[in-house]
Amino acid sequence: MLSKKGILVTIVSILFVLSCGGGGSDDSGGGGGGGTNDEFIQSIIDDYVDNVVIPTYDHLRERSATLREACEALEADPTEESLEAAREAWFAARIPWEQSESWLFGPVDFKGHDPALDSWPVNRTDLDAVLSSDAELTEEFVGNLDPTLKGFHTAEYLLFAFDVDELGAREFEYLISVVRDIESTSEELYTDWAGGDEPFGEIMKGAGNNSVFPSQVSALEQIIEGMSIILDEVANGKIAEPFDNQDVEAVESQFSFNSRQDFANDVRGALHAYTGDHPGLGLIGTGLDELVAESDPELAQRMEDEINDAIDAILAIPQPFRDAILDPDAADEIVAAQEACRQAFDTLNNEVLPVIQQ
Amino acid sequence: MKIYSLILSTLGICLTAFLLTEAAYPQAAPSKDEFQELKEMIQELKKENAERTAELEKMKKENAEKIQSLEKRIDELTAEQPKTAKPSPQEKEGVGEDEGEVEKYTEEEDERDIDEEDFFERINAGDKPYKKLAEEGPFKLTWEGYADILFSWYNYGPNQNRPGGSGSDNRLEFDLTRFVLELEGEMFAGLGFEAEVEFEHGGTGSTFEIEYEEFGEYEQEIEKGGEVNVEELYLSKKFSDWGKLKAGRFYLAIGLMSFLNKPTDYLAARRPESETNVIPAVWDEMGASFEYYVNDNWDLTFQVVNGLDSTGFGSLNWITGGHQGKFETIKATGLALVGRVDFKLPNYGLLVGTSAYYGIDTSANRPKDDLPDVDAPLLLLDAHVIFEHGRWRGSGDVIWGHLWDAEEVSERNKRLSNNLDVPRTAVSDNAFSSWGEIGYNINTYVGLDHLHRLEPFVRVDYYDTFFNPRDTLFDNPRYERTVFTGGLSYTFVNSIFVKLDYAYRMLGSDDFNGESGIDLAFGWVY
Repeated sequence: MLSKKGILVTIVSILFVLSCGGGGSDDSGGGGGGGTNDEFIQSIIDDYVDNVVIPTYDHLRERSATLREACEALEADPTEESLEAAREAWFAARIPWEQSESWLFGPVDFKGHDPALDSWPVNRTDLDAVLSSDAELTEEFVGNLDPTLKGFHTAEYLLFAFDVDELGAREFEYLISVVRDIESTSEELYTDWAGGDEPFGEIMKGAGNNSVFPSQVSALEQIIEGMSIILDEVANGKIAEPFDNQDVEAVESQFSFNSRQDFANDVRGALHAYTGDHPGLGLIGTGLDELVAESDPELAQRMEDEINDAIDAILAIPQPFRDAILDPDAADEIVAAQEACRQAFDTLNNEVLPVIQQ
Repeated sequence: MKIYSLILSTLGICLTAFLLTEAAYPQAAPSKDEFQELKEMIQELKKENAERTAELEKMKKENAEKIQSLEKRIDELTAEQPKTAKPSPQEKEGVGEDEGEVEKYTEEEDERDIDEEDFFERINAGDKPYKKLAEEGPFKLTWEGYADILFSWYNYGPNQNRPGGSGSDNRLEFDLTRFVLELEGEMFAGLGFEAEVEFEHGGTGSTFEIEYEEFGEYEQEIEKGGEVNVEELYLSKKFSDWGKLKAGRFYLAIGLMSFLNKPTDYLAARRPESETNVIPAVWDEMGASFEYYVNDNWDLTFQVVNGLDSTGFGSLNWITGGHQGKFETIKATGLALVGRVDFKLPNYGLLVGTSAYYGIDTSANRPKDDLPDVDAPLLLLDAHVIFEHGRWRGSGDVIWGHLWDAEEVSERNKRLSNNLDVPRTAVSDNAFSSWGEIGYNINTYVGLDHLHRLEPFVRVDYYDTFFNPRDTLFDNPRYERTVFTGGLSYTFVNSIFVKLDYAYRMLGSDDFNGESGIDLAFGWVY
């Protein structure tokens, strides 16, 4: 994104460099330029942490709490309306989670939160076996279950695969424990980045002064790697696996028919990571796009356009995705969505990354 | 006088010259027929000569082959002698050895005593024996090993973690399962060493694997040394015929696969999956081991080794993933003790026994000290039998295990880094494994002599890596597995083998599909 702010920052940077007469030296271990450039890169890292990652996790914990409340309300008053409200709360919580998949590094990785929250595909045989077991489905019991037996997709199964009159005490017991587990994990994710003794957000912002991020450029590379992983995952995993194998069971969010939105939000997360903006929350910051625009404005804009194209191509797949994979008429749209993600991946890695590393 | 002499000389010279010319033998000049006849005779003689030379060459060759064959046999017998006299548990399946071979071994022991004297004399004379002996070799070296190649067909998909279990499929897989090089060295005074290197799946370095326990993700498997493992490397000291001490890396005396690891030791194409999914397959560790051969009937083994690392424990394979190998060194802060008792009846080809393993603290061997207040001790108990009597041959094993603090371990493991490449799934407090196989040799019924073994066989495996778990753990029926295997095993001089079998696997609930596969394994043991 070549924003006005980006142009302004660029002009100010150039003026500042000229005024310094090139006398400053880079001693931070960061990439290329002088002291001003370090501040510029620092602003990108800071905005990535403060405008993108932490607000997304904050959003996730809020919406996970709302989901838990909606499920408790459903248990208290099991009606079509309360079920619908709980389903809506589930859809809403999925948005920040899927967007956060553009940075599956840090605590979400090394604490195993990703599989605990979002393992898929879940399999109904095992879920039914849990329901039919004698075990008391406490939060502790659910916490100990394999990742494929808890998290968003188990909640999805219980909320979407049953009608309201089919939800018995056993299903509610399982559902409430699962959504409480989602809520506590989401809370932990937020705290891991924003609070505690050693918040990961501060570690990332301290890039160049710690061993996790030995230089500022390494933090930028990590941002790009996070984006790459999700673009690859959407094209070659989430879409390709069920489509290539014509296997409905491999579809993510197959009970709620939310697959397409999930994929689009995955890529939206990559857009946020690239621009340093979170428009949905009204947050605008400095992003990688502005750094790229310094040397290649056309590339900076093209990268942003390609990510947006990928989102559009995903949303062009006929709904629901689980039916579309079996429909020959939908094959072109599915392949086009994959190609759009791959194109963005290639540009990111072959063109943008080298600019960052200069 | 002179004139007479001159005349006589001249006549003599002329006569001599005449006699030397053909003209002096007018009647000896051959006719054309006779000439031809003589030529033919020469040809015949030449022919006869060539035939006899060929016969001679043939006889020479035959003799050379006979000599070579006899020399080879001598080498074989020489190589077999120490083995037959060594009553270590590894050779228990070979009970009831030939007395003559034992006698030869005794003779060789005498020869070694002479060498030993020579050796010490040279040391006393200030010699550097290791240099001198290196020319001949300080160790008497023996190569052993085996190769196992597998072709498989499956009617099910590789991902069991699907609704109803693995989907139906029709796939072939070929595998260079393992190639093992085993070098044994014997010195005087019972000193020796053994080094065993295993090449698994024909590759080295790192491989990609699909981890269905981790939701079908592609993962790069990095094992120590890739897929080339030094499985045994130890120095040993034999004490006459009553004991053996080992130090280094060696097989644990628990279960049966450490003793029946060669493909000719078991009947089915694969090793029993029950045992290999509950404890590390052909389990080797580092430490010290002492085997005490009480008499012809009783053997005892004691071992002190490094313990397991509890970060690798998980749902699908219980404690198997705790076998260390990711890092350059083995953590041994948490030690393990192993004890084994075997009772043999050589005349009946029977061995029965029991063994126990106690890992004192599996948390102490975690890469990071992230469970300081939890010891998570591990107990394994086993009972086993091996028999070979008449045409019948078989073996069986039952293992039960208990892990203390399994809940704490599971809780901590699920928060481990993805980079550690461990399952991060819950581990059960208990696990159970059992298997048994039996075969009947029909060689002579189908016109084969005793160099061949042809054995129809059956095997049953039953194992559950979630056997009686704690109340707070869901007893997932997919972890209870039963496998029926039946097929035909052929071996030639106990060296070359070809096995064909069919296996049917059932999971612990009717909700899961059954899984069938056909295996064709072949290879050699040397």
